[in-house]
Amino acid sequence: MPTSTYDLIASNVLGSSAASVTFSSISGSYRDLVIVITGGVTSRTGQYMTLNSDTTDANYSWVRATGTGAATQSGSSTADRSISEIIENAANNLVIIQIMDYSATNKHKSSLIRSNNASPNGVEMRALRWASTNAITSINLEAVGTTWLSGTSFYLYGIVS
Amino acid sequence: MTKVSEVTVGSGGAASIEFTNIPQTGKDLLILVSAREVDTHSSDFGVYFGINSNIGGNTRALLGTGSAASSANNSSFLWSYSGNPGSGVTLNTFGNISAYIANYANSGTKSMSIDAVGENNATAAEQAIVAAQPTNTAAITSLAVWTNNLNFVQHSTASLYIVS
Repeated sequence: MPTSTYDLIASNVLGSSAASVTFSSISGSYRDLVIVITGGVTSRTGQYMTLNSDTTDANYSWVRATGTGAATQSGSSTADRSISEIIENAANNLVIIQIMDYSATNKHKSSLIRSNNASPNGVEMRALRWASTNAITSINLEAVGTTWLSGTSFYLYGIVS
Repeated sequence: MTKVSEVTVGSGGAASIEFTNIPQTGKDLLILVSAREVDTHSSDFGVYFGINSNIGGNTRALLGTGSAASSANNSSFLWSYSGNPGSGVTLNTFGNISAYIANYANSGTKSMSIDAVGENNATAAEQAIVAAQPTNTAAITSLAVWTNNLNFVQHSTASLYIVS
């Protein structure tokens, strides 16, 4: 069975609540990136992923499918940086973001995002596109209008080419 | 990511595959399962996960069959919903399950992200994405997958990886 090799590039475990976390000066020497977030937010008002400080929402689009445990949902946007609808004010959230071919300069950047909140909100899968051919060198993860809880952890991995 | 161990079920089958004495040196765990069970049901089932020998937990799932989508929840068991076909499906087809467990070496609430897909060489095969939260909050030193009923068949496999 093949094994992908993850290299830990950077991490941030919050000692106190924070509005956002930024990974900067990301090397272009890996194939893909993976971000693992465990923890939660102070209130459920949404979270943004901003790439290379590009806050122009029109440059981001996404489509999602969600299972709440009782119903299915689907949605999309052509101008929004949101990464999840289900991250909650609790410590039991797990979000895994995969960003493919992040250092390419000849394509838009696509990411797959899995959000997990086994109780009460459910599970979500999301595809998010950043309409830019720039290599990704920084990633900001923002709790919109609120804060990430103290103890929330952010790990950035590079998948070796 | 480092492989800790890999188990292949032998000719007699096995009701479970268990990893014990998991090193406490990593941050997260990834378990990959290729499974099929002896049970005669004609569709796809899931597997139970045992965290420190405890299968209790909450799950919420999004399911797709190829023609319909649905959602389900379970407040009793850590359950993959899919990825483990029975002997009633096409011979030699196995399901696949990937489960990621964060912060396994710490005590406290843990979350799991599970992908599971069955196989039947047919127009429909169930797939599931699952959010799971184990009841057991101790640091994870053992991890098991149990079949839905009876045994996993020969050649079923499970591999455990540590993400550091």
